[in-house]
Amino acid sequence: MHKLLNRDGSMREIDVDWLATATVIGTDELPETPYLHTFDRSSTKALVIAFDSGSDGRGFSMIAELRECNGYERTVYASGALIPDQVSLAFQCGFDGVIVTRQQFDLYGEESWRVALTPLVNNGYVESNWSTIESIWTRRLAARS
Amino acid sequence: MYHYDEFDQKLVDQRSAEFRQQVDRRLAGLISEDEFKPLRLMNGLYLQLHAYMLRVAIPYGVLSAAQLRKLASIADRYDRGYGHFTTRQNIQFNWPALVDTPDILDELASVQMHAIQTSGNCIRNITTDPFAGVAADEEVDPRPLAELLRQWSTLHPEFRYLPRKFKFAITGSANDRAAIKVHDIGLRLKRNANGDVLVDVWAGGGQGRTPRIAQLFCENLSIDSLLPYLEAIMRVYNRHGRRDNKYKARIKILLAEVGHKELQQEVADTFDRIDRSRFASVGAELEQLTSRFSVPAYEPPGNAIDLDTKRRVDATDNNIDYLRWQRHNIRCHRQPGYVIVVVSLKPVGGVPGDASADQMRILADLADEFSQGELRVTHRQNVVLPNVREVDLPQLWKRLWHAKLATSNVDLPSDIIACPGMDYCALATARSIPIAQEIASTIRDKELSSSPGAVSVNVSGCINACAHHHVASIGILGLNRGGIENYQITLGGRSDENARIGERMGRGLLAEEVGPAVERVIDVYLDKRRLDESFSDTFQRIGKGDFKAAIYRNDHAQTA
Repeated sequence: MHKLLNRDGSMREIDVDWLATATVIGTDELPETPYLHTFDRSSTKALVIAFDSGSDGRGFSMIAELRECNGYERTVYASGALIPDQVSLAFQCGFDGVIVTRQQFDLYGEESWRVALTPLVNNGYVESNWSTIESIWTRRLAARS
Repeated sequence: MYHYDEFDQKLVDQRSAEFRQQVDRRLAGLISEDEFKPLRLMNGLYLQLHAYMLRVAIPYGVLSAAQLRKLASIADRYDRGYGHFTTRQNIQFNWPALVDTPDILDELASVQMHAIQTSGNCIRNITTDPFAGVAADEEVDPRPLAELLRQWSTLHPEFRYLPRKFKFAITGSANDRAAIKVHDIGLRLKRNANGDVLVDVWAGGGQGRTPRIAQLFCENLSIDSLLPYLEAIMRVYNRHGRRDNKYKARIKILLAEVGHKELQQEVADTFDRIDRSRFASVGAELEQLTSRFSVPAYEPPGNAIDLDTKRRVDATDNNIDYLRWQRHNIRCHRQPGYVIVVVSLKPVGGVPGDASADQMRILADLADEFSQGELRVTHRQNVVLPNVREVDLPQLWKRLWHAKLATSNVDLPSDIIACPGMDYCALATARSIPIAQEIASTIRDKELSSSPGAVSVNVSGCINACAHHHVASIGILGLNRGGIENYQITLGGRSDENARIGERMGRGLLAEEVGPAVERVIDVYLDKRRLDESFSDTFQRIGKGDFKAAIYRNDHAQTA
């Protein structure tokens, strides 16, 4: 079983075979712009962006482009070599959930993944349309008005 | 200068608390060094040759006296009593213990400082003109925009894992003192006829093993469009920058491989699709920031001088050291009656950019007394007192003199940029500090007697070019050839508005050959220069022939 970490802070198990039913785009298979051409937008399959390595930030820009520039509103998950510290970044950029393999889950331990769902430092200054917490600039503007 | 509000402070406090947890996990053995490495790097903590090194951010090089006193206190309490100012206007501590680093970050947070994003593959400290806001030739004060970019780039979720580190520089003057054309992104602020601020965006510059001058990507961009345009560049780079080879991962390589026009077009297409509503609050934010950098209360010229001051001026009138310092270390201020004072951290025989804790405390006191409590750090590793009354210069000089901080060599050949080199850095292939010390000792008498124009000498201890040797009048690159240190010389580089990569002269020199060779190069310049001509202008006018012959003079002598 894999673990699915959700934007709402919940965590549940999902079947390993479930991934086979999804459309998976690897960050290392960088498609041409706009890369939404590479899959059927009318498909009801879940979309998964698989991170190539822990230092690979391409997936964050891919989801941002999908959401912001291409108006894609369906569910998108992140999978692959994400580390706990990247989970909140994934949510802020527009992912709905992060899929963690059993091996990854055990490597960092349940506590690390739980902390990742409620990190101490959650938001920076720039507004994200997908974050559940307002940015500093937005909060500042509200405080001023 | 900018002061944190509750939001800034909370972020820095939280980040410090988070790092404490991470260090605790590491010290308890719950995470390995491999797992800890990306976490510590995002907080400016490197593991160097002998110890950890903590790089502290000094946003756009602006420091308060209180912040400098805190840095002095950290140097005394947690390090070995000194700090090293860097070419990115930051400061490094070379000997902190890992167990102490959370306490250091807490101390920094108490004076509105941090080490966030001073390393790692993310957007690094934004740099700008060290004379920002006070330079006589400035069109637009770049500090509010630099602060806006600091905030925008801090913990930006999309750009925390870029292909490689990413550096911004900003200038608001036609005379570029921020080296914008050798940065990943360089911004030139200017005004149109209506007084509106516009921005020229340059991208793809850089140094390291593949030096490149930036290309113009967008001219006369409105301030409202700037952040969406920068996000477009960053997004294209994040998606398409190479990740298979870290030496080819900077945006300059992407530009070279894709082509200027093609990359510019892709950025323009991405820019068109970005949701501008996310930036709705930016205009108000920049307005607020601009108000934080309001003009200080300057005294009207003529009111300031009194009898006591007059006596002090007279007492130094005939002092050759004072007159020399006044000539080389003072720059024009926009406010009549005021000057900008550059304090050289390049005493002959010293370590370029190093300041002891005592010197830091003295500089902080002098800033309070003479410069409205503010200092700047320059990318040439010196410190600036930006708001000094002209009539206070004699008294200020005396205080600096007693503190051994009155070296009169700013922009002269002995004002050398040097990286830490093999004395500290795990990447270095040769020593750079002893080479810089030797050059300074060799040429000091000559520069005092011959008054050269602007000549920059930069010494890097490896191909990563941290000392910017590619854009120096005289650049020196230390390599290792068969276990022996070997120094290549490049000439004619410059990092100003006419930025240019220096030309390599020929075979490398042994360490002991470098100082005399540099002296002979300066002799050629002094012999061939026209009135007030800089080294780089002379080099471009006469070509490399005479210079090369001077460097390798001994080769010819041996052959003959």
